[in-house]
Amino acid sequence: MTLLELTDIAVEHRAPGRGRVRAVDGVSLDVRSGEIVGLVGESGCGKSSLARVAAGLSAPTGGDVRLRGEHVTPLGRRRRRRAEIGLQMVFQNPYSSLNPRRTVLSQLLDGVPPDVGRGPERERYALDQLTRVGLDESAATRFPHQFSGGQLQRIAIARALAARPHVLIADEPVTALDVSSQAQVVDVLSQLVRGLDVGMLFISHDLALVRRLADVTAVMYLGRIVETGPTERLWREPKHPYTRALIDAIPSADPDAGLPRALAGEVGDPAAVRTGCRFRARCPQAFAACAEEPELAGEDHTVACWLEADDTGRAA
Amino acid sequence: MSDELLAVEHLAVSLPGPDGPVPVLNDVSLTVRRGQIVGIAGESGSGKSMTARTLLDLLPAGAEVSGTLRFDGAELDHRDRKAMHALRGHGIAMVFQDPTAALHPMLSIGRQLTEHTRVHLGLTRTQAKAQAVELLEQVRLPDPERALRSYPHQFSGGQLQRIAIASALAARPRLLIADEPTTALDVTVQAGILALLDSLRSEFELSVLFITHDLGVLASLATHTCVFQNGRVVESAPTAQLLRSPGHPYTRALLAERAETAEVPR
Repeated sequence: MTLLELTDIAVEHRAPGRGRVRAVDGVSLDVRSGEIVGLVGESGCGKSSLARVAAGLSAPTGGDVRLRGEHVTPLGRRRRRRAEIGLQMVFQNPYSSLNPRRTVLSQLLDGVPPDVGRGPERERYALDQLTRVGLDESAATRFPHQFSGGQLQRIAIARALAARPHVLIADEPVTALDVSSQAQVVDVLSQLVRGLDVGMLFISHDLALVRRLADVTAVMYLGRIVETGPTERLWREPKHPYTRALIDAIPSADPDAGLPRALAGEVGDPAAVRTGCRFRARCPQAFAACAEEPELAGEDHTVACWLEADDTGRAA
Repeated sequence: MSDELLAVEHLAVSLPGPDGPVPVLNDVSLTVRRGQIVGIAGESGSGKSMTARTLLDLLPAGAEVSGTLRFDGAELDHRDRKAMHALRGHGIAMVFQDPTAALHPMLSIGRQLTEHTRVHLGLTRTQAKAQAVELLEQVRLPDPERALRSYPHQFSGGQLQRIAIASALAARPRLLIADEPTTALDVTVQAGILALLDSLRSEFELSVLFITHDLGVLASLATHTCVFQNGRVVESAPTAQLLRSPGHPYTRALLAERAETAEVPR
């Protein structure tokens, strides 16, 4: 069942002296229950702008966000509607997303739904969330500074889970963590998604991590999705030259493999107005048709590239 | 050996803890030759960064160091502050993991790239600027003239890391210590930085001590690799040999863990 639907989302930022920056330009994405959708792309491609829109934290310039068929309206000064509480976010940096001056328990209680009951029952419920993410109940009375980064991120996940979400949006949830604590947080996230049947949009610049976790992978470049597909298929048979370049850039532990191939050029300026395929300037296989923008096409495994279009498409 | 640049022998470091000194490094020995890239691999807390910090005397107060450190034929003495000061930047330079933290946000790139060359190499302002442009060209940053007038927030992470490398190279060091220089970067940018370090090594005979948690990064870059675990070198071998037939169970575990996620069928 489709829980979260993003349809044709566009996000524009205005910055003095730069004009309008179109960070996200027409992205559609679905998250189903019990499914992890991984979104990868280089920094500056619009991943986080999309995450904030998906979580209802900022308003899209265009397009529509629906959670279980209902519109998600961006958070303002008003209280959030009950239905929208089903959308929870785990932020990149747990050191700043948790309040340093409140105990873990008091922060967890914030998310406990009203129908759980009163004092002791609410507390019990909050403590259960802690054990769910593999922490000891004794953690509840302590303050954030008494934990490591990995533990803090698990507390942040517990807080998001307390609200019984349908969909979790995790924006680079392990990037700020030590490499050894990344693994435990990733394991906790994947177990919870499978166990609780929630959906997750997992955003990361780390392809290896997305490969390990996601069922479906979407690759984003300069505000557009260039390829989506079941994770393993996308890895084994990448169709878009950009996806291929990303995979080629991962160093191999084979001593004969040579240095990973670097992609030529820099990520373009998102403020520049462009025509045609956005990846054209860096694409090793660019040809005449690329002056026109390709659409995402395909059944299960979609790709926006003229190389994959059949001849009729190319002629058009 | 005559082409030896850095030699660390039986290095042990302990830091003060609430219940007496806590050993963080134990009997660490390694050598870096001229124009060689040596890799240090291990998980967090294995003592990789402590080794780098010991070389530059950037240890926390109260640290106890024993063992010998030889750089360019001369023994390093951490008590000689003047000698250490002269060594940093000119002899050994360092690139850190987080380029946004390594550069001062309120000073222009030009100021940050010329300050130490004027101190260490005694260049005039114009000479220093010319050298800064040259350095930025070496690290393949587009439009160096303009970059010098810009501030760190105007660059992406990969560009900043290249600027940090340029800054580390400014005083012509003979050894560059790169402490997880690509961990915070995108893979595509990482590939560029690795290629850059390799070309600097072949062009300028720069020696690099490359610290990372990812053995894959070292595969084609480092000629020799040391694997650290709990403050000890558990395996030290030529990289190709270490990857093909890892001798220590810990190295095998590191490689196996990697193979699950990062190895791509090609």
